[in-house]
Amino acid sequence: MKVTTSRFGVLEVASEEMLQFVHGFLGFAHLREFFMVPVPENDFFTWLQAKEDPKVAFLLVNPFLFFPGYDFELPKRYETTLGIEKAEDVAAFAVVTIPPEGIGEMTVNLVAPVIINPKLKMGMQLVLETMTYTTKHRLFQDRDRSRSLAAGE
Amino acid sequence: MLVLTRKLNQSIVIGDQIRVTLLEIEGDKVKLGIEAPRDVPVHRLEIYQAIEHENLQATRFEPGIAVHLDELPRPGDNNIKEKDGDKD
Repeated sequence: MKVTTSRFGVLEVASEEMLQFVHGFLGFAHLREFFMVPVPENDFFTWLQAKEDPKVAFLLVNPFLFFPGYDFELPKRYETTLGIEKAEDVAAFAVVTIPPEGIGEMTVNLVAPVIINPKLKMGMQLVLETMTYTTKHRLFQDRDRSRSLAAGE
Repeated sequence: MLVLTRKLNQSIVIGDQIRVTLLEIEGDKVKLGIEAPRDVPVHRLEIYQAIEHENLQATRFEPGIAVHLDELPRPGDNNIKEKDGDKD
């Protein structure tokens, strides 16, 4: 099917690439179908584009690569919701916020990871009950490095 | 807003599937027990609002930013521990 997006133009998306988000995202509960759009030459990130709203896309990152100590438990009831039977059925991502200052200042929401069951094409945004993580963790700690990136060098 | 007065260990029901019980009172804190179906998400309001706010922020980036993403550092480029066998 053809899907119109405001950032990636018109994309051809196979129906088996569509992911069903059972509760949607907080603030976007009306959007239930999303698909991934790869980030060219950088497979640590991926876009998650809403099918029904061309303007809504999230940038997702593999949180474990950037935050090696990151850890949370998926409550049993959500394993059922997502049809998860074994660990290989789970892919976890975190939502990235890009502030107006640029990509070097990006933050990651570690309190609400995105859980996807690639086999059943189902996903959800989990809300952790822990107080350990917040909605804003800086992705890049090195300020000089961040600045040169923000300047596009 | 509907206001109900409850004593310790008393409950209210919302619909026929959600039950909220007052479990403990200590100073200005109360402990609530919530029984709800699995598919009903239950969150603390301030966490719910913070995530909603962050999700909205996350979709509001400059459209042009997408073209710069291939310049992003990889985890190993920064102060992040390198994964095995992925040096250079």
